Amino acid sequence: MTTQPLFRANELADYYEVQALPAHGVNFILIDTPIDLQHPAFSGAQITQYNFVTGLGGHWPASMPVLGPHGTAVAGLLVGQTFSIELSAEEAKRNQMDVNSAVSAMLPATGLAPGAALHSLALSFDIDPKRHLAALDQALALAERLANAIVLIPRGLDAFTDEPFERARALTDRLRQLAKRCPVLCAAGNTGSPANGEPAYPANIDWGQASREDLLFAVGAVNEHGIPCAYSAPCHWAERSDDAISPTQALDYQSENAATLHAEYGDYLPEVSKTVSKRTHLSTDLVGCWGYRPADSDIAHLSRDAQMRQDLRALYCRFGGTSAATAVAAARMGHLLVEGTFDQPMRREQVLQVMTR
Amino acid sequence: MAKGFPTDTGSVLTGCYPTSTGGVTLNRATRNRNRNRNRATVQLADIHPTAQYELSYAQWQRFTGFDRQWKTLTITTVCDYASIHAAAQALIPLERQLMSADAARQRDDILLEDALEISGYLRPLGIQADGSYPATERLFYRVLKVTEVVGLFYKARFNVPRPRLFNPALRPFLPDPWHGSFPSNHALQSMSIALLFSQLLPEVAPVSALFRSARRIAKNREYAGIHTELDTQAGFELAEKFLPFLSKILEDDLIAANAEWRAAQ
Repeated sequence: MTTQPLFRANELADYYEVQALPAHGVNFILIDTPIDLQHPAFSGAQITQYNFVTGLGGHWPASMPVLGPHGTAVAGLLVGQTFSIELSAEEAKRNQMDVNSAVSAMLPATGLAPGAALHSLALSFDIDPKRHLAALDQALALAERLANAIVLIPRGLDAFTDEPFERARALTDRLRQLAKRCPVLCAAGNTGSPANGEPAYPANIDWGQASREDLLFAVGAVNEHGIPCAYSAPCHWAERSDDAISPTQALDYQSENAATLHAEYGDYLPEVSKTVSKRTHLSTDLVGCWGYRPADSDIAHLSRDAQMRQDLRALYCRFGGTSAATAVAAARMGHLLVEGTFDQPMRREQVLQVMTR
Repeated sequence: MAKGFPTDTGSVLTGCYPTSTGGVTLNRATRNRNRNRNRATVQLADIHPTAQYELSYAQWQRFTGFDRQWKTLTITTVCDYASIHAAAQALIPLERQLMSADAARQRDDILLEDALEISGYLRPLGIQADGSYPATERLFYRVLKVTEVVGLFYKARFNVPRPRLFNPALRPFLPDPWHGSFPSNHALQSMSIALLFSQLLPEVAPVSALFRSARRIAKNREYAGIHTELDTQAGFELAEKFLPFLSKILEDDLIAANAEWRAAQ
């Protein structure tokens, strides 16, 4: 058996070691769709997943399928690790590797803070607010208990919009409580043209008039040229940058990383962005015939492990938009937190000043 | 088109098998030479609109393979006499509301939803049952079929009578179905579709609207006076607990629907 790095993973690993901090001691609290914990990129990661899809907390049942890739892609940007897979000669050939024997394929990390702990609060899009309330309660409890906590909400919480006032108020109050304990980064939205030029809920809470102690931030997305994307709801956010965090400004090395990936591995990477207006990152995808970049359905009858070996590219996807931007901004914030950059308790003005520097 | 071979699908079956008195001539010159071609046009979908969505043999095999697991799920929603009695009393205001003049559209919806019909689930996704998303349509129909069997099993197990027996003052808008009331099959079916699809493609379509529609469809059965809130809750609960099995039974359909929506993006 020979060892052949795929995607030149060694150089990539070196790059991460030099350029990115592992962010040990940071605790990400992610409110999103479930994460595929079986993905090999998470085998060495510290991830705990709670079930608010079919329950009101409790650990994610092993029997429960993860069918949607969104949470997995966000988690990959945060804590995705490098890993290797042993391939037979036949499997290697199928993966377009020029070898005649079995190989150990090294696959790249996607995480920007691979040493951080991730607490996933898996939530569906059900309009029943009791699950949202339960998830936010859990987030509050975790934020109380854990040091260096950062909450991510890389999605809209649609249920809030047409709820009776009292219940919507209760949910918003919880978000506010959360934002007083730790930073809460919300995706500004991918919902197309915004109705009022505002981000989606909950990124729009007190948009433009947040109280000074509030640590709730809207995260927009930009393209390769730093221009806010049309699908990023606060499309006028450049003028209101004091209220938003720009992942491009905040994380310069990420853009360098993206350029490197394109230049070095472009041919291998699936789903390379079709338009220049959308900036994407390499992230983890659902294994096999699922996700953003599904493997061919002719291998659907195989076991999950076999599917993975047949098409390694299906383990990755190109992921962009405000959801990806939220993860990138959170990772950057995690690095700064462990470096001790922020005053304690954190102040809104300082966070915005540092993150948009 | 030759005489004796009607084009409307409603009479295709009789058209396929012409009798000696069915207008068929023995004269070679005028005999219908397209007879075989016409026969070949009879599709399964012509016989019954949803026949093409029947589960495949492999799916039935998987379904029956999970028998032991899905038949032993625990329903925690309370269904004792006092609770059902109270829930049946609570249906009276809903009944009055449904009979008001401004609820005409809701009454139409209830009648439409009474049959095996998926437009209520497609509409929130911005698509129609016109064949433009065939894999999604097939997935939804098959979810309805699988969960119907599951629901009937649990109805038989609990054997709870319809609300009208607990509250004789009720005048249900729909006739009482022959099977038990608890859990509600409409709640089970609609929530199963919403849970499954929202997990599969959370960001490509307004899936929260799908949940909204699913809950409305389930609630409409309460308005119709044939289910109580307890039935609805139990249906939702069963949908959540059956979800892992459902996703495995219909895995190939899920993969196809996933590919269909990704390609449309």
